[in-house]
Amino acid sequence: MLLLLIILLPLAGFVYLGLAGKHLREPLPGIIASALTGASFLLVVALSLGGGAAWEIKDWLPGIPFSLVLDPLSSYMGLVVTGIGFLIHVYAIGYMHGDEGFSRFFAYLNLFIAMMMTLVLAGSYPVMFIGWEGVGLASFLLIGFWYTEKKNADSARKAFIVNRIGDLGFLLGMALLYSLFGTLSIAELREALEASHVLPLSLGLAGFLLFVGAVGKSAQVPLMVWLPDAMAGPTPVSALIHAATMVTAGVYLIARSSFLYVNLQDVSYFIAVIGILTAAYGALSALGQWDIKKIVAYSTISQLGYMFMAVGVGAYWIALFHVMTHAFYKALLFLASGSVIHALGGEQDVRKMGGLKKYLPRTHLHGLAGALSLAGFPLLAGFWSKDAIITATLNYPFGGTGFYIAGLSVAFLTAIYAMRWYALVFLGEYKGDAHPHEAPPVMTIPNDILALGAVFAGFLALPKPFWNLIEPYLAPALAHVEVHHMSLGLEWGLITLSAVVALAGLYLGYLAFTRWALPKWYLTFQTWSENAFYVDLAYNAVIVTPLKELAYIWSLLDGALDTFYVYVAGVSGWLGERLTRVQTGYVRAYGALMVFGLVAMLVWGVLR
Amino acid sequence: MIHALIFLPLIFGVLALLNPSSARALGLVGSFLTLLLGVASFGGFLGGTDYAFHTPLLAEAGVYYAVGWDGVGAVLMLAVVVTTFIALLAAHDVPPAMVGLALMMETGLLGLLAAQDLVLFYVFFEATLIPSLLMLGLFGGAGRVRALIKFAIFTLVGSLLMLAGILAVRYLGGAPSFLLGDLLAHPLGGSVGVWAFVAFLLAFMVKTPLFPLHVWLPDFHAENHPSGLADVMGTLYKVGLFGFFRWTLPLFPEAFALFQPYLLALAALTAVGAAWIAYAQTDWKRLLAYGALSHMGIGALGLFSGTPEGAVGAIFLLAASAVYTGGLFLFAGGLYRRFGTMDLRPTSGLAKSAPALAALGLILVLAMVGLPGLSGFPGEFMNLLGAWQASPSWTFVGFLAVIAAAAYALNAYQQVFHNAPERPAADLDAVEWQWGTLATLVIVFMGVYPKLFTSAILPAAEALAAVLGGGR
Amino acid sequence: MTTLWILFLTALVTTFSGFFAPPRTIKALTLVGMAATLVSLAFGWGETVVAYGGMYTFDAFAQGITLVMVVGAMIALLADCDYHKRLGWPAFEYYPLVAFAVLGGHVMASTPHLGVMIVGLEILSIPLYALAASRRSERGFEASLKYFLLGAVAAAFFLYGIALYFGATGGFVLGAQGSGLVWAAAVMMLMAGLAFKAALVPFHWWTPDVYQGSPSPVTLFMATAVKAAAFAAFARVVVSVGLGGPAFYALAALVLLTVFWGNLVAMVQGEAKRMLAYSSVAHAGYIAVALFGPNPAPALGYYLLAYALSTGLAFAVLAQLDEGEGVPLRSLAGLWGRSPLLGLGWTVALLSLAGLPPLVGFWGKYMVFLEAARGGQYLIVALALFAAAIAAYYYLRLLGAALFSKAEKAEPVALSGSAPVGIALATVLVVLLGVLPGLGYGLFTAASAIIR
Repeated sequence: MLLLLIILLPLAGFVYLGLAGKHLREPLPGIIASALTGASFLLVVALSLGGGAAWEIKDWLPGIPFSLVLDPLSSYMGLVVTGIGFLIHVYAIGYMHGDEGFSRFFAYLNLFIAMMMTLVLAGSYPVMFIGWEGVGLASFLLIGFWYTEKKNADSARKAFIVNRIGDLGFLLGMALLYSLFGTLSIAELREALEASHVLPLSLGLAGFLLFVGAVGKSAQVPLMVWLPDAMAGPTPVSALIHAATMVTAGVYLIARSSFLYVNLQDVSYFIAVIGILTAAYGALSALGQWDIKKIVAYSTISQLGYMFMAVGVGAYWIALFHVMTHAFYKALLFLASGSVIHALGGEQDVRKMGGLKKYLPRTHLHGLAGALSLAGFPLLAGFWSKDAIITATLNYPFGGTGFYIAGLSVAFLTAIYAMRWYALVFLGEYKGDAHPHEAPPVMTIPNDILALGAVFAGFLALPKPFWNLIEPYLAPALAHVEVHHMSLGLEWGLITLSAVVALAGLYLGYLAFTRWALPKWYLTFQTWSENAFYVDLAYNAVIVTPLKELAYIWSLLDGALDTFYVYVAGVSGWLGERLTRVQTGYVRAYGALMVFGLVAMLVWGVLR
Repeated sequence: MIHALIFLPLIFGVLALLNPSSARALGLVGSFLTLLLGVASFGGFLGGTDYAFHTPLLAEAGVYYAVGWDGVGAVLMLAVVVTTFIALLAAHDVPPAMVGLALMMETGLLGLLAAQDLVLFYVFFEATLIPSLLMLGLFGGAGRVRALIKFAIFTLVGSLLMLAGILAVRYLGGAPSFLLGDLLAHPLGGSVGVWAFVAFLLAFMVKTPLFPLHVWLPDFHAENHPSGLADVMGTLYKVGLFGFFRWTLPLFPEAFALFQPYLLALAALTAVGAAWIAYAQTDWKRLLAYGALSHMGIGALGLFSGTPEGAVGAIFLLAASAVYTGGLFLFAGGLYRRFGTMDLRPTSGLAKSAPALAALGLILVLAMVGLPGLSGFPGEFMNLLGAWQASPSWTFVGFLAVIAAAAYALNAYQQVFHNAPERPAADLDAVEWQWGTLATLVIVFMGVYPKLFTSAILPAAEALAAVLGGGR
Repeated sequence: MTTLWILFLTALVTTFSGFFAPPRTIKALTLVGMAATLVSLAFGWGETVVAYGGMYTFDAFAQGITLVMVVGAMIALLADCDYHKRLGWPAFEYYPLVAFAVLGGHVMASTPHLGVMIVGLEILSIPLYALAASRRSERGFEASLKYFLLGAVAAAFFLYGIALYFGATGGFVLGAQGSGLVWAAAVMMLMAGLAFKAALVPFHWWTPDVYQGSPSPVTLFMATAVKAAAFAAFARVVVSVGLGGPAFYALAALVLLTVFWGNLVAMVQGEAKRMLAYSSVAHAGYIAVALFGPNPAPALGYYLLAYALSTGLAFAVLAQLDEGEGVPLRSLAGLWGRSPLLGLGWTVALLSLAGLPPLVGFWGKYMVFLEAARGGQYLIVALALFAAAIAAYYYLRLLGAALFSKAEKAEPVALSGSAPVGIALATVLVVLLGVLPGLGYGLFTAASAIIR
């Protein structure tokens, strides 16, 4: 029951704030919501220390239990969600100060936490799907938080609909698994799969369909288009939902299903390819953005791509390691961006920033820590986890040298755009006309904690011969993967190489974006990158508009069907009209017709 | 108790027709007492009470007044009593006679759910048409007569042919009476069985409805009284899936097997096509009509899979959609009360001036979209699990509706509640709070604890699947 | 025998008392006579009375038919209408004519002897010719004359049929079987002659014109009592000759033509009485459907009762609205508001005619189709039911015209004399017998197998 409480506490917050929040004075709703999230965090900690927990309603749906499980994997993820969630809640008390939807905002945030924890704690796929769609709803509500602007409302809807495409994949995947194994409990599926010697042929399809779900939720190519638009929501939302937690749900899903994917070489390979494609796409698009949040957003897409490459090659724990470090530094980057936006009175264009180091010293430090961690500056959290992924492409079962080279190249790009972001915002001269002011402590203190994480979290899992706390902790919940042995020398050589690449990227970025020494071709690239390679435009032209138009055409055809029936019915009216003309009113005609009738009867009946 | 439950609404309905001045009070009391009786019966059913009763109605013709609750009937009965009460609570400004007619319809619906005799079922099934027609004809909009004729002719062509089928089932099958048990013991196979099946099929395809016999539905809703009461009752009257479950499929397993692939295709096309068309609608009622149609397609997809999962899903969906689709019609009625139009377009940004209204609307819309945790999901999901076993490809086609549903529902919702506010609107009034809260509680309960209902439906669903051969 | 005598005396007494008593008294006398008939029916129910060497056989079937006729006549007598009363119609002759017609119908229904049958037929018909013209309007005369001339043609068919029947079997009593050309021709001609009175297509031509041109209460009487008598004879003939061979196809053709023709043409009429006239044609087709069954008498009788109540109710309502020129659909508008009783009666009557449960019309259809299904004629059942769905269109138009459109004139309809009683009674019976079908059907079960 305590396990259920992890979900019920924030859910109660949602209900209470939703119904009564209007009557509470600021910052009470924020405090309540933060406290409930914090309580959930403590519960996760306590229960994890107690060795996990499980809870279920049998036959919630016929043959499908409602089951919650706190095992190492869900406790790990739960800690990230509630922990970072708590910090962002606190930050938002300052950020959302004075907004007329203050309590509504926290109600939604609490709903999100509740749903995300449902997703994380789920012991069966349908339960996970409840959370899965629930976080989608929270995301919809929060992206469209300032709904009076059409753009925000549209972005919210876009996010929901694109996610639904993925969700359909998830649903069909569940249907297929159910038809194969007759259960959707993750533990039972795992047992069934590990016990069976011959794997059903369609298992690959099931894996693929589940992955489609992940692609939608985690904004992978080709369903990445909703995430940049999702930046229409308040910045804490971007940090919590669209960077640290919800978008990593796809990674979590694959990791949860590792027992399935470990048997599916082709699908895994496909996942890794999608991952690296996404990583490259995100990085290339991040380079040309001018919106402070969009840079970070595309960076998120790129980093999620890394995670998928990791799960694709079979390095499940490394992907989760990156989920955690990424949660720290990306939340930090977003919140630092939020502080900047806050300081500049809502300005988001980086061309109107610059030199903020002087005005926002504390935020500058946060931004620096986040950017360097993202760029993979040696010894920071992002360095360790990203390097682990890149190395894993060489020694995990489904990897390959191609992935390695591509991963390293994207890491180089990552360092460049991270430096671009940092340089444009904090270095040089201030180009705007606002009066920047540092954020209040309620916003800076959570950032301090996140910054500590962004810098040091990597030390939880160091390469050999040092300590690694995460891999053994997660091992029981993940599938066992045979890893090729790699000599210490080679490993550390590769680590050095990626450190050099990161540093080179940072240096190049510094040169390029402080002195603006850019070649001519870059301007063309800049335009393409700024428009994210026109994917949105192409989708609208090729898919969205035709589908909408078809709706009107079907509608017309439906009307035509209606008309068709009217004509069919009209036939009887027409017949009636014809027949009624026989009734002329003349007795002679009637008499003749009667005689004809009789004659017909006689001819047919008698002479037949 | 079962007779009291079935006929109590009729008594109150007649009283309401005779005393127009106190129709609302009579409607509320009558439907509330029926609700209590319904809940008690459901409780009794779960507790193992057998409500079966039968006595000859027309002994010479083998027709019995035979009623009783099985899991399916009981769950749908609960949906009927709850939804009718909600609707009568919400529709506080309807002409008094509508209350009476709605209550009379309730009796018809309860009767057809309880009927264990095929002719009795038919009698209730057709009798319910009368108040429904009268409601549309007396209180509908400008195009009501056209809509009414369309509705009536579609229904009657289907059901009169079914009557021929009913006669054939008994006399060619050799059953001593029209009682369900007797008929099941004497199945009708062969080519005659196929023809009789087709007759039943047409009747219930009209009443599900399924493409291409659905064209009466949008006009029926669009022309009905704007309060939504008639639409709610009309929604409850869409008992085609129940008709398939209780009568058509178990009586003609052979013929069904022959038609199954085509029926799955029709169901899938209904599901996706209707959802798609819903996107192009600008009138609340037409939008909801197509949306509900799409849901029925999903339900049919599950039911026609011939699996217990699908059958449970179809019935659950039927029960759940009564509440949320009904709620949405009432909700649209509330918007009409405020703005005098069913058009989506002139309203915008209402969440600003009427946040509670917006919240209620969102809950109803999300239930319709099938958000897990609300009542739309369990049915949809079980249908999916069932349908996949019968035809993965048609399942895929049909469930594209899941995406389209998000598009049309959120599009409409945001059109009205988001974007820049124009005209402000009054927030929920006391009556809306009452019915809204009740509807929300039901929707959430069904979504969070579907077990109560699915476990009641399951035995019947398994029996059906056994007759149909499991679907695999 | 009592029943015959009561009817005979009623006709005689009312005829002669007309010389000194006012019409109101004669109406009362006729009603008393009808009520007495009901009583005598009730006492002798189910007991077959044979007299005059078998030429008068008052069996359970004939009792049922007589019951329907008496019910139809009573509704017709009760359905006074204000308009006619102002014109001084009906004169006293109306009542004895009705009584004679019932007597004729009773005789026609109660005999297996073809000679007696045609006597009964003429006792029935001649008062009807007079009744059709009784309003003394031009349309009335036209209707009457048409009816008379065409009736003569039909009577000729029937007489020829009798002659051939005698030639083929050597007797006049039904039940004999013959063979060969003469026999077949006899069967065809007998059927054609009676199909005229029953209004089966293509012998129905008189129906719309006569129904429309006659005063509404007379139309009511024709649609109920006369139809019952005609079907009594028709059924006796068809059942006794058997449906093997040509009779089967002839009947099937008549039935299908009738249900489709009647319903299709009714759809496009613009006047309520004419619409109901065609509806009456269509219903004749449904009634005949029962003849395909192994034991048609109960279902046939029951349908006649159901139909007499429903259509009697409908015509009784129309009688209140008819101002001599028929009832155009638009003049029905706002009926419910102008007179709730008429609105309710009209609604119930039309829904019952359309065959919707739980009204008696549904059970009538149900039993008839059940009978045909017992006989294995599913194709005919399905087609006839399909035609019934077409019929729903014009019943709804009639219903819609009265209920769903705004009234041009909103003044209440004046109901006079015994009309409210008749309408209320018929409404109650249509609903009651619909809810408890066993009640009505039970009256006819005794008629099994003694139809010849």
